[in-house]
Amino acid sequence: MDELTTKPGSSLLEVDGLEVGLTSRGREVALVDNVSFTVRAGETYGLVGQSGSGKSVTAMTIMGLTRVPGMTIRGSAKLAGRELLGLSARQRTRISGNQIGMVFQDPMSSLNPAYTVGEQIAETLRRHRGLSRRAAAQRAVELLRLVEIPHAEKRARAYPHEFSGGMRQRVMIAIAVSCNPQVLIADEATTALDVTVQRQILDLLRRLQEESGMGMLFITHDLSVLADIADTVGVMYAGQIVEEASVLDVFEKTRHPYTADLLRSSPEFLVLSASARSVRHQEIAETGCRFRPRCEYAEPACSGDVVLRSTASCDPHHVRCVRADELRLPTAGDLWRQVNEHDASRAERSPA
Amino acid sequence: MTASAVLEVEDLTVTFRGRGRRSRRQADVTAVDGVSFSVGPGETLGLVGESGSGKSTTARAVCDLVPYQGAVRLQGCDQRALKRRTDAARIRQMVFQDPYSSLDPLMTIGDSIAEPLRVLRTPRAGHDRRIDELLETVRLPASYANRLPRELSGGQRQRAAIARALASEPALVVCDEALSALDTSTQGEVLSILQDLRDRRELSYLFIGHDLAVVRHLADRIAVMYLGRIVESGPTSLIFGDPRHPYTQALLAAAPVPDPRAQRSRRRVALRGDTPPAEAAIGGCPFSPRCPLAVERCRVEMPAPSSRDGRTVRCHVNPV
Repeated sequence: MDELTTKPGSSLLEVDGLEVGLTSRGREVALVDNVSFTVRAGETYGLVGQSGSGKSVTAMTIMGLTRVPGMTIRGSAKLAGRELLGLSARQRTRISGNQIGMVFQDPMSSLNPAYTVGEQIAETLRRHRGLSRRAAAQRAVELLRLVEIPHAEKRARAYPHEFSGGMRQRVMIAIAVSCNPQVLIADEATTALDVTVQRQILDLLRRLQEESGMGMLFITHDLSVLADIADTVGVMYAGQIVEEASVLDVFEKTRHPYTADLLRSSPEFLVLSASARSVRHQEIAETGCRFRPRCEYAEPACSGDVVLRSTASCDPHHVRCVRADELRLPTAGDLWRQVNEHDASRAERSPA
Repeated sequence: MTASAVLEVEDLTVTFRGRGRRSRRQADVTAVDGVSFSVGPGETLGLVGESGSGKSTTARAVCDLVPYQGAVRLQGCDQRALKRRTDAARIRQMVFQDPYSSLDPLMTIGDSIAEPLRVLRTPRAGHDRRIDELLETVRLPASYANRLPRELSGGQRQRAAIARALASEPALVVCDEALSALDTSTQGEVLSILQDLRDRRELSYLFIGHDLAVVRHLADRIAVMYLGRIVESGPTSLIFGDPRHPYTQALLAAAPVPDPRAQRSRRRVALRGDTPPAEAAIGGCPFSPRCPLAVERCRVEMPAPSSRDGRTVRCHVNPV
């Protein structure tokens, strides 16, 4: 891990006004709508939202994996000052896998079942770094050791099906960091794993980040995972970032009703709302605040233009809500208190 | 175990034969090893553990979908002694993890829901009304009866699968990771439907899941499985409030909580490694190779269960 001399905290990946639209049946649908964020060296930016909110499309677009007919991409995504959008396939290959690594959700379908994992790690090194066959094979074993796979030399000769899900994800991480990328994009990288294995993978990613100073873009639908790994959190809804702040502020000074809703739907807090919850509106408004049809705080002003703006606080905290400054939304702490009260009253009612 | 239990499982063992022939044959795998538990009327038992712990295999054996040894009794009768397979279908039904593959893509939702009714030969005239009732129970509009699964979202499909499971008015529904494939916001909706059903109809659940926070809300009692054995079981509040088995403790500590300060102070020594193959600890406690508290005795002697206050633990170091 020698090539990174970037100072911690300096911006590595700058996404600015990213828009991805898909024209289908003559109608353009905005999948990603004016999304901007910055991934800094040695820090993790967490992008969270439910399925269909555009978080994966954002990552795929940065990686140049969204070239489909009918898709329009506007805005900019710069890696260390260099524009990534609109690169030719050839220029793209030089950057993807080299300066940006990516880890996907499903490690089985992203590994080739017909090659040993050692060969697959070595392939990346030979292609991007021009290592000889032998040197690449040697480095592959070192990388397997780096991601804490026991008996690395022996395991390098094994095929993906001989690995467990967690071990396969470690292999994917080994491939992703093989060329010392400046930025690692993890798209639901721990979602398919057991909690115990998820814990190990999060610890591994954190350790690798501390050692190399790489920036991380961590995409997930699970706020709890971001509570663990993220420094800054961006909450996405219907293609837009609706709230962005430091991880502490997102949980403790929640300002957007959707963030509050997402937090409240965490399994830990289900007990508070499960019985009262009916099947809710999934409708997305096309103008004004997109969350309006589902929002319990909606008022007429919400159908006008709603922009992402900073709140009246000293730390950077951006919210896309006209009522952000007046609303007092329940924070993670409030919800924990309610859960504890609920548990206490339940214990009283049923003496064990 | 009382005679009134909806489900009694006694000494359940499921062994899968190794593949291959003669000398190249792989060793047999004992996925479930002498598991016993019971579920009373209106009660929910949560079965938790990592992948490979045997929780899904247990669910499949309870539904007679894999060959097993031991006894599975439904309302007091051994399910294999029931005259017809359909008799068991009147008592227990199953909801699977993946709502995309558990519904026939070519059948309308209404037809899927009515299928158990046809199999059980209930009078055809009442089917339409019953479909409407069932859709209402799972909070789907009656018009959805004419839709195909692909026109529904994941959460809606899972609700349709629950409606189908309820069609035969079972006493027990086995939910195998029924919420795991859903978004957190959808999970809440489906969970509330399951809770309602339990409260209003005294439905029992065998609820299998890997997300402890989800299982916690539904389960009255919890059984923790590791490598085919139940290592700890007891009332939900005891298991969460005061876990005794080191594996239960590790599972609870591993799950991240939605609170950055609490979560960051919880980062303790994580459980190392994957689940080793069962033969790694022959004779001893199956968890001993990964256990932070293991002593010599754990490696050679299988811990006997100890019980107190309705909780049972199999551990030499931390008995109750």
